[in-house]
Amino acid sequence: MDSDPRKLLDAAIADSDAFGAIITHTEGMVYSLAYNFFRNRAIAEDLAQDAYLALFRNLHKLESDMHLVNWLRMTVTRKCIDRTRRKKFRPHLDLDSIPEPRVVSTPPDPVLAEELRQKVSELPAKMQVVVVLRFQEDLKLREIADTMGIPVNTVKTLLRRALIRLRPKVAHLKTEVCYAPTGR
Amino acid sequence: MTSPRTCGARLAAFLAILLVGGLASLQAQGTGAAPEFASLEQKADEVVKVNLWGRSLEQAKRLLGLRKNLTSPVRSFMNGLTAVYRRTYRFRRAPASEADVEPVYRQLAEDGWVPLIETEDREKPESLSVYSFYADEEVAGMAVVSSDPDEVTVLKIMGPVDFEALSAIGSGLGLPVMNLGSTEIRKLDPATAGK
Amino acid sequence: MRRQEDSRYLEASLRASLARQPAPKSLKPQVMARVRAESGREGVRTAPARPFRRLAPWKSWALSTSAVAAAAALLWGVLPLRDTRTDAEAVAMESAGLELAEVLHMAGSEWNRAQQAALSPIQENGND
Repeated sequence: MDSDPRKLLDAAIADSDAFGAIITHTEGMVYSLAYNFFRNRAIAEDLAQDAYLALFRNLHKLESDMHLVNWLRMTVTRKCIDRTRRKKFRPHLDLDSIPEPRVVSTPPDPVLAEELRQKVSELPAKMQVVVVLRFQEDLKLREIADTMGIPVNTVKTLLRRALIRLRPKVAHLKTEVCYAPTGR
Repeated sequence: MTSPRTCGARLAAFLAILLVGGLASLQAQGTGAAPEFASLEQKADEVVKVNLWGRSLEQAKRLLGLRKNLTSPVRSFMNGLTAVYRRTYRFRRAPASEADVEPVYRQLAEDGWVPLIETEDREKPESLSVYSFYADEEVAGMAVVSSDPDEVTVLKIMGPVDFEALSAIGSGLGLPVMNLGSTEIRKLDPATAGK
Repeated sequence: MRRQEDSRYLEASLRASLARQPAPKSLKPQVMARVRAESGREGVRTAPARPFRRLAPWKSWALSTSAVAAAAALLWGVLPLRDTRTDAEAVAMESAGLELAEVLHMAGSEWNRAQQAALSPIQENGND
């Protein structure tokens, strides 16, 4: 982000084409938040579009470019939770959600990474948001609490529960990976 | 210079507007009127409002009608719609309570809406209700109220409701929402139509 | 000790697994198309402050009369343009179409959810 706190914002308000600069600066973050949540490229892209449109409608309310980044994080995570809530009663399956077939000689880390992403996507929505904000965005607990609009202690609890849920699976995978023949 | 044909078109359009204006005025005072949510609006941190009726609804129908893969029941259901409203209230500072949502249910009941399905989660403060509105023993509208502490959404769809078509739309069939419109818009644009 | 190692391993693995990735190339053009549509339209999402308020009959009459007069005046000027199907109209159509599709999807999705909930007395508890 630039040192001028409102450089991107002011440019985008003056000229909608300049809004493209905001997208260029932030699309990796926005898309990845949604993708890490749904593991579905189409949904992630759709949700990112919605988030940017909401941003465009609210540009005048933002105070700085940093505020913009926080606002985007907050909006995307809220939209992720919203969409999960709307869809939780109907199964969703598309080609994007089906993992690539695994090859025996695949190095251990990508396998673990894929398994882990899958396990994260199975966590309850708010837990998932905490995990993604913590490990994708590397946010502090306080920042996660502000982004989600919940108390820090709730974030701590959600994160602890998430890690407890993930740990045995990962420990199991780790053991499996360590002792699995790597084909070398 | 204005041709008699253009004048006739203008007159017809003016009369249509008068008719739509009159109908809207009647609707605003009749049993199908949308309720007032002032208390929710005051408390909410974020409000989303969508009002589609008259010209905006016709434009929306025209656009969606351009989709080749629109199924016949969905097309017919969509064409019959007379008004579509959405109100979403999001709460960050103070969660929405049952008492906040109560006026919505009360207003719907007063306006003659009949509950079709009411669900409530015993473990979580979430509820979802679907209402219908009858005119001459036919379903003439549908309302959905979904609420939880973070968000309250009220949808109103006025016009004959084909629940099967609606169900198909909700399942992502019949009216795919992704990447909607961009290619169809180009077809309408005279500047790019010939390219 | 083993537990601590597992925790560190888990956190490192999560960081690697959830690392940011590049957005698809189509994202920006699609957003910009929608933004241009948004900045070029009026009256779809923007609503009066109290859109559902019941008005006194005289206010309602005055409002609808003035609205009709304004709309008629607008249309009188705009009507000849309708044949040429301008960009502005196409943009307004796209915006209205997106709003309609979104509301219908939401209504359909909630209808399915309500039906499913009504059919199965014990709801699944997917989100804790």
